[in-house]
Amino acid sequence: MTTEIITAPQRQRRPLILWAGLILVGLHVFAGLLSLIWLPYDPTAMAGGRLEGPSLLHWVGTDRLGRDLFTQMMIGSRIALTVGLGAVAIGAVIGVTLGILSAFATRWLDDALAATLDILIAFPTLLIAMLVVAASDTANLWSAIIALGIALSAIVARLTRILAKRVLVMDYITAARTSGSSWPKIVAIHILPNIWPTLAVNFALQFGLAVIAEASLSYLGLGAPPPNASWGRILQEAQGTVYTAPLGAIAPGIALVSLAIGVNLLADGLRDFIDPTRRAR
Amino acid sequence: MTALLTLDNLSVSTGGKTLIHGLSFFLAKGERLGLIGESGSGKSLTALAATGLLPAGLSASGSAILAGTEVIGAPERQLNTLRGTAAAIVFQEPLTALDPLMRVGKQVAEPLSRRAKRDGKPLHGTALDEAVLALLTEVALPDPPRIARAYPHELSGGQRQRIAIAMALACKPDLLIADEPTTALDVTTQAEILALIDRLVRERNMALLFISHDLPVVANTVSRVVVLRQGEAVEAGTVADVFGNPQHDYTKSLLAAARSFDRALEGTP
Repeated sequence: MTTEIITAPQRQRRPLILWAGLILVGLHVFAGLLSLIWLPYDPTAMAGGRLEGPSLLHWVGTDRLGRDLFTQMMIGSRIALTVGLGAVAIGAVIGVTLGILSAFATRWLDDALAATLDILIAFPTLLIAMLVVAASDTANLWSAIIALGIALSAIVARLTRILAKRVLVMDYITAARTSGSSWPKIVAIHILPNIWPTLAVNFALQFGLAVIAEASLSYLGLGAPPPNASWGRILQEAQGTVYTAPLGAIAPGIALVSLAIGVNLLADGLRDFIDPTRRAR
Repeated sequence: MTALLTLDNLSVSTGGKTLIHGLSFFLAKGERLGLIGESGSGKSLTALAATGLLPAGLSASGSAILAGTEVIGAPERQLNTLRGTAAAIVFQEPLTALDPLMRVGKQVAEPLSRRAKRDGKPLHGTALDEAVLALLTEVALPDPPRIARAYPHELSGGQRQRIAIAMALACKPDLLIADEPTTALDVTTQAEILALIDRLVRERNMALLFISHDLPVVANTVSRVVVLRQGEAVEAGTVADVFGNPQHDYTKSLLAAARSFDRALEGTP
């Protein structure tokens, strides 16, 4: 009876987190997808006066060239989602593979891998991404995605390695081996499902990091080149006029934070569905 | 009687430290052998070495022949074929012996379908489901369809151990290795699980290697015992001989401890 009273508020809080996440991410996904087929204005055309404030025609005003900011923000959502998904996908594939291999590797190979990963992690993500982008001939969206993916993979690999090692010593792994299960099968049906809930939450964190890192790269001029409207570039272009038209800087900031928070809330909410031991009984 | 498991001068060591010293024993088909000794005496290691499952960093020497195959130094692939058919292990802690994120029905189905495939009679769909339910019924679990859909954390310790036993049975092993299968359970559940193991071993005519530190339990379950102390076999023989007329001081002290515990329970000084 007492447990009912203690756990009840928690049970109600969970769906709230999930819904908040769904709504925040949903808005960005909707804006991003819509930008593919329809935009309020041509993103490169001068649609109104310079540095107009918000109005019914221009919801968040215009930039210093008179382009509609809301249009750019929508394209920004698409770019942010593309970068987040792409970077996390690349980071996950490389990181999980390396992590699992490392967990199975012989002592010295494991140590060597772990040391390499530690060095990679010690470098700031942004610095690695800048190096990769600078090394490639042309700065485009994909070089930023690949760069961020590689930078993130080190953290994923380190986490996967330690999680896999913890599962590997469990009796059910030995039991599976006793019954003649092969290693690839054990990885597929026992190890990956057991490390997945923790990894998924980490991927959400990484997604937020990647989106912010891409904005930083664009801000520095190393991201998607114009006329791709990344939030980082909108922010950078609005910097000079921040006192006369602050909305140009505030809007991309809000967009960035809302997407990053939304993905984290979504992952946190979804975790209870992924992990049956945390599901409300 | 044909030999199912023969250990000959088996030693296990790690980094210059020897954990098991030249252990030799023999287990025939359908026979029941108890491996007794205190914690850290190398009982579980012996079981792992006999099935080629030693953790990385431990190395074995000597000989361990399981179902006619030399296990020590055998390649992983050969061991894999051997493991699913010759021997299965039931572990001490039923919670960690089950995958927390997999429904127990699926966990039982896993070794079941593998064994069926090896026998050349693959099981799928409803046939597999039915085989799982039959196995859950065989280990005397109530309401098998409901249990099959449950996750391990939704079951009691005794129920989990029954699932673990069902998973071991699914391999149709010739040798069942029970590594302290009742230590983590309360006394009434212990008795039920022991009775279950006893019945299954008899019905399926399996050999049993029973690892325990609990002397009364061992005495009731097996016919022959090997007493281990710090990785060395100090005494071996039938239960009546070893328990009735112990030769080694260590066996005597184990028995004395068990007796004084019994006396304390009965309230006589």
